[in-house]
Amino acid sequence: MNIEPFIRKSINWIYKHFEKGSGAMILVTSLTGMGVSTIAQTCAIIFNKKYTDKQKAFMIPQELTEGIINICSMLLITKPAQRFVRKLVKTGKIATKQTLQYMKENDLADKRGAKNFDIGLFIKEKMAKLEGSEEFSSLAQEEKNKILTGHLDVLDNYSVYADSISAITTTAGSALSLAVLAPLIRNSVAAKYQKVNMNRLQKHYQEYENRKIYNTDSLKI
Amino acid sequence: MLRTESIDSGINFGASFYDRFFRSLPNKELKDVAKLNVIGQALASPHWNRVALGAAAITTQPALDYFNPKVDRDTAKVSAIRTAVKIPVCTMVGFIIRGLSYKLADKFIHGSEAEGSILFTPSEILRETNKELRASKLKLHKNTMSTIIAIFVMMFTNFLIDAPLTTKLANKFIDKYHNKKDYKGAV
Repeated sequence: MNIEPFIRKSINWIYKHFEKGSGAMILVTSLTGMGVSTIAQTCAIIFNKKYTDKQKAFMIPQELTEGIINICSMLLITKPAQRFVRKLVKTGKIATKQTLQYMKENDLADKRGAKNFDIGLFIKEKMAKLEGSEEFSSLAQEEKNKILTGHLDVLDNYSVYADSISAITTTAGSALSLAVLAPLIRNSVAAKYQKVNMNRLQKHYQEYENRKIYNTDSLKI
Repeated sequence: MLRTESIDSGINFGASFYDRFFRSLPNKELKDVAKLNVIGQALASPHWNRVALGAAAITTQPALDYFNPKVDRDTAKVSAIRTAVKIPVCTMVGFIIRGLSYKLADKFIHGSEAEGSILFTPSEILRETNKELRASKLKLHKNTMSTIIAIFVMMFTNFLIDAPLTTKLANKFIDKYHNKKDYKGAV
């Protein structure tokens, strides 16, 4: 069986779905990693004989809540922040000197921050238009390369800093969640669960003790 | 947070308000792009990203667990010990696996047939004529592929290495804590 077309198709699919930048990739990794890690660590707590029932009643919900909070904050804080920052970058609200210069040269200064404007897309379209024009094809190869390199240089510079900002935003969002949100919320939620679970355990234990007394009494009779 | 996609396509008060708000935000010219790119590209690599997140977690999590006022002292101390052990263990294993996955991706993904097999290289990268753009796209693709490999491997290592190693080390430290003179036993 020839699996080459299948591999090629899968690789193209992966590339298409992650081409927007490293931010999307980090998001998916983190979500999957957190999910699997939470399950593994919860199992480890359940089977660890060193912990008392009371400690387990706290640590199991603590671990589960942490996983849920991290996933939720990724979707509700990190991803929207990443989308917002990406919009700031692609509309030129945040830009390098080179990009700003390029925008000025191409009469795009008033497009800064405009709805649906994408500097990266603009450069790509401009290059495609150039290559398709008759005027461009009549130029000497050296001249063509010179013009295209100018655009590509700006595009390359833009792609790198856009990708860097995306990665920094995603990491900052995840770090905020891991360092502040998750520990504060998970400890509070787990403490509540511990109380509820310990009360339930106490009740069961009491019932068991009562039944034992009742059974012994009935035996006496 | 407002959803920009729906706003962009709809003609309503919200759309123009969001648009006006967005445009009113101050413009920013990036000054130290080289530094930003160094940090950004390091964080974009999966293994260094894992280290950054591990570092963020270790700075606060054990302390917040230790001083948790909502549980008894014994539970707080034991959970702080477990957290202080879990973070370095998971970070170290995650870093190694992600790093090895990147090396694997780097070995098998090539930009052109002249460099090696192109089976794992997307068609779009192969079609790219500009050398620099192809290199940056290839780097991004290698990051993505190494991450996918790492996720697959970690499905197993989370159960086979991370969790057992955390338990073993945490138990050692919990034993030390239990053997302390002032330990009064679990409440």
